[in-house]
Amino acid sequence: MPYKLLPDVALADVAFEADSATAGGLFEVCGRALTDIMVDRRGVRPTKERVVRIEGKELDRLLYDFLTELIVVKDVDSLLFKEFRVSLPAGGGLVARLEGEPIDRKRHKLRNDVKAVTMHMFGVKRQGRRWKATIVLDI
Amino acid sequence: MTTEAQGFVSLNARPTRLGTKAVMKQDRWESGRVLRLATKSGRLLMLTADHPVLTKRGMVEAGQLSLSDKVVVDPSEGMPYTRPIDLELFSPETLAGVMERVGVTSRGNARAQVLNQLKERSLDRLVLSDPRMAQLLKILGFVFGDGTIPAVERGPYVSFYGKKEDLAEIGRDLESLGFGSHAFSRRRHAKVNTAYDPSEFDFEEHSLQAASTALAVLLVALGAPYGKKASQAYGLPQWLFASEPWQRKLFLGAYFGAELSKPRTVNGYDFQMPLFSVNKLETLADSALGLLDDFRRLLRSLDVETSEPSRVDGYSYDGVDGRSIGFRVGILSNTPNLSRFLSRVGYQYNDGKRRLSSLAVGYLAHLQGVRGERNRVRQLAVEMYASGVGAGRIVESLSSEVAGPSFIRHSIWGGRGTARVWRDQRFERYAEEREHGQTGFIFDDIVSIESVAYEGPVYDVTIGDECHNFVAEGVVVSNCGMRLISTSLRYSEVAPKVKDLVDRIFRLVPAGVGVKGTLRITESQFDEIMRYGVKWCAENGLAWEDDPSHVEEGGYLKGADPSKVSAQARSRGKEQFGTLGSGNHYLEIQVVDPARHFDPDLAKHFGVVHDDQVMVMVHCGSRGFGHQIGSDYLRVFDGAMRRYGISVRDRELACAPFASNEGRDYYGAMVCAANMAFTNRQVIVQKVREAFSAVFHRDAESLGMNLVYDVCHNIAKVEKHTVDGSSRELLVHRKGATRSFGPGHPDVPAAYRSIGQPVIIGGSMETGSYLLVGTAKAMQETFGSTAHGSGRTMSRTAAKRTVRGAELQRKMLERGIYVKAVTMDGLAEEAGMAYKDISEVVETMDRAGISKKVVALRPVGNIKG
Repeated sequence: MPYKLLPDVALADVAFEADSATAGGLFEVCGRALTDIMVDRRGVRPTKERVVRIEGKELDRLLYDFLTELIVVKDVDSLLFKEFRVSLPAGGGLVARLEGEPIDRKRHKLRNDVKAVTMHMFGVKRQGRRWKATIVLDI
Repeated sequence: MTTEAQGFVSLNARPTRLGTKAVMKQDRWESGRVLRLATKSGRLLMLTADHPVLTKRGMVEAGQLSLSDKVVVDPSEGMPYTRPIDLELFSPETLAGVMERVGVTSRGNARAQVLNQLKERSLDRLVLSDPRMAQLLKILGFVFGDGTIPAVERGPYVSFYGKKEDLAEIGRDLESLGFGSHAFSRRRHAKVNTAYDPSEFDFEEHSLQAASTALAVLLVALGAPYGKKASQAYGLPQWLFASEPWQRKLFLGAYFGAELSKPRTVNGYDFQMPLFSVNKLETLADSALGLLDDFRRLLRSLDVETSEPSRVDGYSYDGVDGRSIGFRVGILSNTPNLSRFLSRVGYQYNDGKRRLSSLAVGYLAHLQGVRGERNRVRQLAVEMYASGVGAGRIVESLSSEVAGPSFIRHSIWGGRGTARVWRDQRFERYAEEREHGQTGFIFDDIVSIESVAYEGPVYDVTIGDECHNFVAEGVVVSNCGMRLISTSLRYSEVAPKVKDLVDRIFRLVPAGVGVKGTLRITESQFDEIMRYGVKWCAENGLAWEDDPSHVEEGGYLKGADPSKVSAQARSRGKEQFGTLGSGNHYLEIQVVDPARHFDPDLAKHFGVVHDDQVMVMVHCGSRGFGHQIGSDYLRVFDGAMRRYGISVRDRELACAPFASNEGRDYYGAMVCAANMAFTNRQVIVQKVREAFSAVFHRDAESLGMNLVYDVCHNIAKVEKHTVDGSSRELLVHRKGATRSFGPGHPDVPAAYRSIGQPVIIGGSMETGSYLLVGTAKAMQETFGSTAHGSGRTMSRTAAKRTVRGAELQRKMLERGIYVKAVTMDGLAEEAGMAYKDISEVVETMDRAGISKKVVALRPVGNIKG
């Protein structure tokens, strides 16, 4: 798993650290980690596709907006995703292709309801040849 | 931070403009050792070793700084904030008189409209201590300079002339007061008679126009000239002389941004007298001199000396109303006076002049330093020579960058008196070498770095300049709170029905991931909820008559501004309205613990009359709505902090000056979230009443299900507190804290005013909760606040590893607590052992005297999101 939970970082919240070879990959890992915290993703079927576009130049803001969008979609459209494909075009911005389905309380094994991405320790950085991010979620 | 630390700039990003220049620094100091940095220009800063400081090589942690580093400082001192007096600036009669004068007739409803527009913005009355005076003083100052309120038939409006960027700043300030404006540009041709020849030139004129008649009326009521300035007599508003120094600085700064010449040198080293002038019709020469005298008096009150007014030689202008002449006054250019002026008054609404002014302050301090150093070397050289040291040795040991060999030799052989300032560097060169970006801030040399002992507060915030309050986004977003209702039921009656009650409430109050509320509301209803909270519920059959009066602030906070809430936040709020949420949010059926019924007399006031009475507690907030507002403004504040030069250690502590546009917008939105949270808890309580009524086959009224209290525990509120003996309006942030107002406070509901407000402290679902009462000591010591709950000691992941949800559920049932949770993982995360001992927390607050124990409540049924 290219992310690990950081149990000692935030007692009342859930923190994780993500790692990937590419920046786009890092966004995908973070999307999966966020969803894993909300639901057992193995039970989510990729029956619906949603394309999300986000404007912006700074990578950390894009990541913040991307994860916030996943939380909004969960609350407003009741959608959870299984698959994440994220590209970061050279001109800036982000395009994400997400596949998942509406929440089914009977079939899905739901976990924590994530309320927000916090800025506590929030950051995206390049370490050697890898991309890393630390995220603390408000539960 | 101590006052000696003012003037340093620690920035996360490259600053561009400083806006209202609210340089705020914030540090977290553990008691222990901190670093004290001294710089060449005389700045002192105390900060922890890991605090980032902006230097020539980028951000460097203070502990890693070396003496060769150059740190960025703001050379200007600014003015410390002091509280203005509550002086009424105009009477309703003045306002009526002004309307008469500017042609807002008493016929029709023109006057009522203007008054209404002022009322809507709460500007129909104004006191000197109003926080918006920061903006108004600048706008007024600029109107005295490059602004006009023309007397035209279509009614008065306000125009400002200047550079595009500076006008944009004025536009932002107008907007923060609730007035719109439009920018215009046009090519113009001008013809002026000078002493030599008539001069003609083309130029592009930029202006900003605010069409509001109400604004024009307001400014004229405050003392702004109406109509052509050159053709009438007027002075400065007299109330200015009763204003605080920082307020006079803002007014003068804005006037000077428009009128005063920029700091410039005669020869590269010595500064000219900055000049400003007043032009009037020849017949009004006395009035011109009177106005200049007002300005001079105002400046003198700030320790700035000026030259006597003189006729502007050769200037005359023949206009339609006759010939006008000019008088001018200069700021005396001796170094101490000019430094004081530039550093403490300076320029507003003119970024170019502000930058130059800031650099000039740095340059003057630099020259002073050089002069001092050369005097010291001269004296030393003379003493060394007198005690028999050879000239060669003296030169060798004393030569430095500021005192070269020839200066030292000259000192030995013939030196007496003070050294001339060594002309080491011209101003332009200094500015070029020292300026950080385009900010007017300078790179300053470090003189010393010392580690000193410091026993200080954990968090301490200093904000320079006029904006002394700031609103922090990250700590107040969720707006969650506690609500307690009583019942007239005894545990013996409820015990057999706990399971039925819990199961029924569980069905009625949705909880868990992505859950939606059962109550459908329209957009306009949601607007009403944001504005009026529980009052809306009462008007729509969702509350009992008495409910609003038992909610903090009577059911809703004032100042909600739904237009500052994003569409996304609205969607999340509407969908989740009436849901419990998850995490540590819960709904609990509780029983008074007879062994811990600490103060039965006080308890009676709160409706707790029996030893085993049943109560219901709800802990939840505004759900995703408040969080989305938080996420939205985190972006806004991120940008605003750069503009205001604010740096914080943790980005979650994003903040903005309270009086800024961003701060006000956020506050308006945050109040919406707080009101939605009150409403959400109210709607949930209605469902609880419904469930009890169904189970006991009696109406909820006869079951005595009255609201004891509802109080926020994550919120920023404007409150009055006594500071150093005087009453001050403060913005109190309570995060992980709840209000604990004592007896007699007007904000405590009438029913409890004689004893203090109820304080509801939630513990874990296993150990129970407490009802306490607010105290007078909390008012004195903690701005009327106390802790809000027990706090975790174990992370969610660790709790899940230690205990399984199903097992916990079984064990709790054995102990008489029936718990129903949406997920077993969620249940395990909230296990009692993951929290601090609530009794210990409550005991501590009771002993500290910031809230007093009334009764402990033991859980018997619990619903977890």
